[in-house]
Amino acid sequence: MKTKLLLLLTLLPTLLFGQHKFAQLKEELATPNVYRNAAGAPGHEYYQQKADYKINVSLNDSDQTIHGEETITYTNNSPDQLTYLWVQLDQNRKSLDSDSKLINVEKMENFKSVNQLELKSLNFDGGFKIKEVRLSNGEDISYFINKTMLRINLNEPLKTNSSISFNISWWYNINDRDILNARSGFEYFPKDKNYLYTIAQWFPRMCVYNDVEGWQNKQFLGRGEFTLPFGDYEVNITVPSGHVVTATGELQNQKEILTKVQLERLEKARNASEPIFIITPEEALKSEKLKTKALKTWSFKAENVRDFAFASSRKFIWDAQGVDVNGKNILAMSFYPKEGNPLWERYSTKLVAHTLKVYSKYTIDYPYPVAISVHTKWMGMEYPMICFNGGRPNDDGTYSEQKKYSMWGVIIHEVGHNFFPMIINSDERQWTWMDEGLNTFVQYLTEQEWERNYPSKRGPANKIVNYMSGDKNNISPIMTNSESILQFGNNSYGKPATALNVLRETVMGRELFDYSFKVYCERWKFKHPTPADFFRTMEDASSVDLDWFWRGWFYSTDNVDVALTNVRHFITDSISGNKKVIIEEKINEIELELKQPITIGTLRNLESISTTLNEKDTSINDHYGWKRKKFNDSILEFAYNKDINHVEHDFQPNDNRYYYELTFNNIGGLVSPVIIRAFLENGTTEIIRIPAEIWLKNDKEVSKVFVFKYKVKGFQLDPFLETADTNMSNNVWPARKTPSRYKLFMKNKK
Amino acid sequence: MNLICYFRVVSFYNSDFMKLLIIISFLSIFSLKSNAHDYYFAFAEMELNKESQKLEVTLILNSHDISHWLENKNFTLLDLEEPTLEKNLKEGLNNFLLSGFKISHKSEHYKLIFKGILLKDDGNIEFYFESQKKVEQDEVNITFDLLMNQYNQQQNKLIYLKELKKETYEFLSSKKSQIIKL
Repeated sequence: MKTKLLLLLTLLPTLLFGQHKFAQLKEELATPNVYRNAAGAPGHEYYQQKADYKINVSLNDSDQTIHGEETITYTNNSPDQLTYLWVQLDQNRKSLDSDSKLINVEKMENFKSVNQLELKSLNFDGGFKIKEVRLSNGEDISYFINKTMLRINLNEPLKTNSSISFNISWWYNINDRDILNARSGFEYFPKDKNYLYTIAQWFPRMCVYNDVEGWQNKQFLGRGEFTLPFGDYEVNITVPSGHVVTATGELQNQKEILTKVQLERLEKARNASEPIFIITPEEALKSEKLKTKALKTWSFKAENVRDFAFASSRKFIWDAQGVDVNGKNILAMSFYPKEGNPLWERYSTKLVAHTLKVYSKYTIDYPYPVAISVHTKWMGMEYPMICFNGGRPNDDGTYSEQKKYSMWGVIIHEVGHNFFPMIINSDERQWTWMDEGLNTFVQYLTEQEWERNYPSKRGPANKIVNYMSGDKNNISPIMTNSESILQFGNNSYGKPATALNVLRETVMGRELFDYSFKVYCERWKFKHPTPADFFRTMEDASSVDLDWFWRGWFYSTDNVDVALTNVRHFITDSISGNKKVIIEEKINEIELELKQPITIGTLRNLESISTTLNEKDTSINDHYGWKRKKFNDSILEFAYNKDINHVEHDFQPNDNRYYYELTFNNIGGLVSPVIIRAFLENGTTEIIRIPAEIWLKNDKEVSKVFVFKYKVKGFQLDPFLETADTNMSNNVWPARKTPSRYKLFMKNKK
Repeated sequence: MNLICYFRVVSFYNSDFMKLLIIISFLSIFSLKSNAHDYYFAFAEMELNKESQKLEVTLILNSHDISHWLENKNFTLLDLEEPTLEKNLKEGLNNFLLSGFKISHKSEHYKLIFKGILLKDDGNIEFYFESQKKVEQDEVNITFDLLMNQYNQQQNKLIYLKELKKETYEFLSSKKSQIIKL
């Protein structure tokens, strides 16, 4: 018994330390090795596989089917011999016997009518119909299909640094997006009887084999997206001759496919600073009516990409402009039907160009020759060099401000995915946040450079508080596998984007953060990073211990709620000559009048972004522009221009000294820097920034003494809404009543 | 992946069959976007006005939730920007919102009167209501199940402003009503 007690006492500090908010991430991260080092960089023996594709595909517009044959050349750069290969069959998620049907949770209350229940039984015969798998030299090869994965049983092991080529032929039914909602599919336009196809996950694709997962052959259930090796593609797409095709990569046979006029316009567009029509709205309208049965083949090549997608329709209007990214000229393009206008011809290509420039500044230079935005009715999905984006005005061409911002946000986001995960190629099947979260963060930066004080939905810390303060039973840690995440959007897009903003603005500072983030992007471009590689790089390049931050923000569901629970005031008093004593003085509590808070990002961007794109190119400002201008004009009116940094080291001998002891309670559990604004009696305000390490020894309650030259009227925590504090009502001393939204509305109405 | 899954349902088709198809697409086994819907919250803020003894309520919804409802009624968000709401629109909105937010005490139901609407820059829309009658009880029952019938993951939150404090109440499909001490 004594021995057991002694052992427990010996282990107790370790056990307690293991649970500490500041404990280093040791067990949580994989041990560094020759493939991924402790600094977060690729190790000296890092390797990755290569998969090259040659594909011929035809799109049948009369029965909406795809028929294809491909030759995959797979190169094994790993140190391992491979006895089998895994190929992804993502379309099988739509097959009649898909697991996705069975695992979807339903309640009878979800079905509002008999008709809905009957529609539940509506079956779509999706999924790949594999016709043949054969080695390229003609030899037979056996294979086995396990739901969304196909295993090729090699006749001989594939040795290190050797390649194998094999052919697969297949066909499948394309789904109607409006009925069978998916990333890929077609939209039918009944008025002119035309189809618009946005085609993706359309060919059997190699799985990733690496040092982390072996084969990443986790079944595709619908949410965890794609994990793909890089390779080179040559793709021939045969479609009805009236169709216009756009795809990942560069068009190879444009002289055969395009008219002389279109070729001239395309050439002109390459160096144009504004979008130029390659196919005008009038030409597209004419094309809609021509339903010839002849076929045309469009040929594309793409190098060093992880996937290939394309779009095809008679309805496409096509515009393009050149974009200079650090001396490299890239062609930004958009393809959209007339239903997308007026929003699309006005904004889409400009958004593509702007996104490439801003992302290249914060991450890596955009390496591909083209970037393409294709219109869909309402969804958004990303592929290398090409993305499908929603945002359709009303039938009469009018649109709400919200619709415009949704369209802008989607295009920036989906084009931004070129960087995460198309180039910085993380494992989407495992970790949604690694591409969606990082991308949403840079999307926020890009939006802020598009329009002054763009009302970004995600990024600023105050946008996440409702989610983070929610019922913990409905929240997952960010570090959760993609299929198990609760509240997907908030978890994988919003919270990581906010976390990075908090790191940038509050924990690390912009200079350290931007440098480290860029190092991560440079290190892992055209490679496969893991969460540990990101966490380690951000620390290694900045010399900031962030384990507490990753632990709190990424591994827990804690939230920030720091309360200012007590304030004591002391002064020095002189007694008997020069002898001084410190006495506590009663505080006269008068309610503070607080102005509308301005976020830290807004304030700093006023200086750091000298000119937004809409200030340079005023054609971006539409009839809603006046609202933004009014809002922006009011910003400085609200700002506390007199905020100065609090310093205690320059007191002169004769200066008055007023001491304040502040007590902070960590109610939410997530440790956080503490930002304090002090309102002094002389009318000035001072800002004190305390690092999160103040909670090192006690993460529940801490106190701190501050010295001021003037009496303090009040204190306010998180005055710039930068820590994601979920309860602002306990942040102010003396406590004050927050006016309700109703009262503010009625006051402004008068 | 897609970001604007929050468009939820589009208005393009007006036939009942197409509407059903569209709705089922979000419930269907094939649905990706419904799973990926990024925002399943509606909020309410409530305060008892000590002078009038009436409850003042703000309902806060994301514009895409309202877009869906509007489009089904052949309106658009643009119609909400008009200085005066069309009568049909105002009544319809009132019914839609208040069918998902109810205040009662025992068998007594407190009717809420629509006072105004504000489209915010952040994509949210605020709707303002006041109770018609004085509230003299020291507690009320709030039922806040707005949008829960449409979306499995919907969870709503009410912030009750009580003197210097804020009290937060969560509403889930398993807990649609709560007693609030005034």
